[in-house]
Parts: sequence; C-alpha cells; structure tokens
Amino acid sequence: MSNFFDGFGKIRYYIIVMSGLVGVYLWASITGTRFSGDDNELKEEPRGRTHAHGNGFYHK
Amino acid sequence: MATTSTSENALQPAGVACPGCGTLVPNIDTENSCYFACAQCYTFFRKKGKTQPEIVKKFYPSEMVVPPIPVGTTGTLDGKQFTVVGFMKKTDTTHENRWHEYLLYNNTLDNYFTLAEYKGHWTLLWVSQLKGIKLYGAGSFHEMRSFSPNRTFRQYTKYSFEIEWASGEFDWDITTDEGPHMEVYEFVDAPDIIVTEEDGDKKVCYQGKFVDRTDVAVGFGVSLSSLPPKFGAGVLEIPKFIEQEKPMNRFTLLLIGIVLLSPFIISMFKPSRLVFNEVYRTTKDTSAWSSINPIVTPPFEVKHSGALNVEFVTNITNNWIELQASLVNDKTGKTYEFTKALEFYQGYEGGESWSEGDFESDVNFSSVPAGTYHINLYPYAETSIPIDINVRVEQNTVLYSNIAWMLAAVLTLPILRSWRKSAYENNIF
Repeated sequence: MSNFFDGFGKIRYYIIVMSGLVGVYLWASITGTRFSGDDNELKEEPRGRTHAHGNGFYHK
Repeated sequence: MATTSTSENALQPAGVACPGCGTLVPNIDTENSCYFACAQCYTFFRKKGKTQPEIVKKFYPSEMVVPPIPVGTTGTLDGKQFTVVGFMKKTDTTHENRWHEYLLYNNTLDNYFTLAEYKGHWTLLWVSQLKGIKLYGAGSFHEMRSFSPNRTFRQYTKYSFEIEWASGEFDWDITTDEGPHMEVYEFVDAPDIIVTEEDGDKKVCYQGKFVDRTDVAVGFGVSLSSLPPKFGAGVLEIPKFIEQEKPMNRFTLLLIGIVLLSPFIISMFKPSRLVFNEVYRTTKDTSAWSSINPIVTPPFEVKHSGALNVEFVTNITNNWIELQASLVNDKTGKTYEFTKALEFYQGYEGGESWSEGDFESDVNFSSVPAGTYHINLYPYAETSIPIDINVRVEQNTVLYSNIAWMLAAVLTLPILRSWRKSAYENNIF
C-alpha cells in the first residue's frame, strides 16, 4: 500500500520553498496583511458622469 | 548499473578469414559462433568448424558507420561483463527508422545480450525468462499485453526489418530474420520493455530496460562525445519531472487544502466581526451648487489589528454616486483615503430586462492597527434625490485576494510541468 508521503524526498527542495511560501501566507492571514496592498488611493469615476468637475473629484 | 570498463578476463579473439577480401574477422565465441560479417567488404558468410567459408550474402550499406563501441571491446553494463562480438545496422521497413544493435557476449553466463541504440537512446535486451506473459487482443496497434502480475506493457510499435549491414560474429543466420515474415512487437512500461519476435508459430520474447547513455560510455570505456547525441525523448527513459509528478501532485493537494482551510481555522482565533453598521441618507448642501453634505460617522472600536473591510451599499437606480472617504484613527490621526464610484442602471428593452453596474462596493485595508476610528464620507452626485448609504465596517475580514495569489503560486509549477509532460510525450521516440 502506497504511503501519501512516498516520493516526497524527490521534491524536497520544492517542499522547502513552498512550505516557506505557505508560512508567509499563514503569517499574512493571521496579521491581516494583504499581498496586493491596500485599496486606498483608489480613484474611480463613474462612466455615467456627464461633465468634468474640477480635478474630477469633489472635495469639501 | 554500469561501472567501469575492464580488460580483465577479456576473451582473446581468434580469427576467421573473410572469403570476400581475406580480412581476419575476430571470433570470440569460438564454440557457438558460426556466422561472420566482414567490416571491410560487408560479406556475410558461414563458417562452421573446419569447413570452407560459405558466402551467405553481401551487404550494400547506404552509408558507412564506424561503431563507436568497436567489435572486441569489453566492458561492464548492468553489473555484468560483456564483450562486443557483433554489430548490426537495422532498418524498420514499416516506418523507415534506423537503429544500431550491438551483440554482447557474457562469458560467465555463456549468454548473449543486445545493446540497441536509437537516436542516442540505449536499451539492453536479453531473452526473457519471465513466466506468465499474457496476451490481450491481437493484431491491432493498440492492443495491450501484461505479465507477472503488476505490470502492464502497452504496445508501442510493430514492425519488420532489414539489416543494412553487419560486422562481427553471430551464432545464427541473422539474414533469416529479415523481411515481412518476422513481425516484431514492442511493449513498453518505462523503463522496461518486452519485445516479441513472431515468425509464424515461432515466438521469441525478449526483456529489456533503459540504459543511461553515460553508463554505456563509462561501462565500455569510450568517450561520451563519441556516442550518438540524444535526440528527443526516449520511450523508456523516465525524466525526473515525471518521477516527481505523483509526489508533487499529492503535495500540491496538501497545500491547496491548507490554503482553503486556513481562513476557517484562523477565524476560530480571530473571527470576523462587524464593528460598524449604519445607514445614512444624503442631504443637499444648500451652500454649494450641486453638492451633498458630508457624512461623519461616530467613532467605532477596532479591537484587533488586522485586515479591515469597509463596504458601502446604496439604493441608487439609474443613477451614480461618487464616494470619497477617509478612515481616520482618532488617536494617531492616521488616515486611509479612498474613492469609490457607484453606478447602477437597469431597464427593459426588446422584451428583455437588463441591468448594468453595481449599487454596492467595498475596500480592504491591510494590517490596520487596533484603535478607535471614524469615517469621513464626502458623497457627490448630480441628482437632488436623497440616496441611502449603508456603511459597514468589518474587522478580521478574510483576504480572498491572498487566497487567490497563494493558489496561483501553488498551481504554477504543476501546471508548467503538465505542459512540459505533454511536450515530452509528443517528442518520444
């Protein structure tokens, strides 16, 4: 009966690299760190807008 | 496995004079060899005991090939000592493929082996002692045969052959194997092969295995560069990436499981929680043209540092609204600014309902420290109709983009290997 871990020695370097990557992922999940950064500084403009308004955004 | 070449116990060749040109053809297995092929004039002749040599055939090679492992060379391969006693260049009359065969004599076993080379790929073959070979189907190219008990060999090819030329000595008339009456079947389960030669009711079965090119060079003491270069992928050779395929697939499944389960496990310790949820209705700012009064939320507590999700749900229909917002830390003054533009249109046209855009949107912030926050919201719209805006803030939100990135990273190499395997299988000889 074959073992789930049979042949893992043949891919030990891949296992080391991917384990490190999964470790980083778990750390990011626990600390709430987003790989792609924040959504801040996001500038969007609706296509339905009918005219330009200053720099395109309303500021109080 | 090959070790090093050796001249120990090397057989001292006698010689048989070629009836065509008088050249002395080496005779190593003096007891059994009775057919000889001259490398000078390509005469194939019979010589048994003290009888006069009898010419059987004259070969007319299309090109002269000097065997990189000359007849008479001794060496070790697969843990056995061999002497090269014969060489043949064969042509597959069905597919026009050409390959070389070295006849190897093992003095200890008093047995013959064949070392075949095709496009730089080497196979060691010997008469099979295997029992219980089972045949399934007959005649078709895709039939399968298997033997004892766990191996299944898939038919790879079927052919007949001609011998273009030969040199050295043989214990049978090699020319009787030529022609369509002899059908050769090859069955492959890499790195092993079974070859059957069927001539009417007479069947001979050979077993074989992949031999590394380097082992051949080292085993027979010839330089690697003198051997034919490898072309494409050999059908018996199992590349490393195929050996690694199964463990890598299992490991990838394990990683996918960890990545997909981690949000649930982490949520046990850091559950997602709605820390703010209020609905605001926009009011026109009478002091400014075509603008809406800003909205300032009351303070709310973010108890754990982590990812924060701010969501806006509006009731716009056939309209748009622009939301410029700041998430402000009341203690430090640190501000997270963002702008979301929402637009939602719907209608009925040509007998069908349609809708476009979205009336809700959200933003994620990474590693937001614990503390008290409020949101300053500056809506802008061209309509004077009041718009309801539901502001929702969730802490410890699940970062689905991280999961997507991680799954992409986990699947990249297996997918690339799958393409490589496909390319390899299309390039097998």
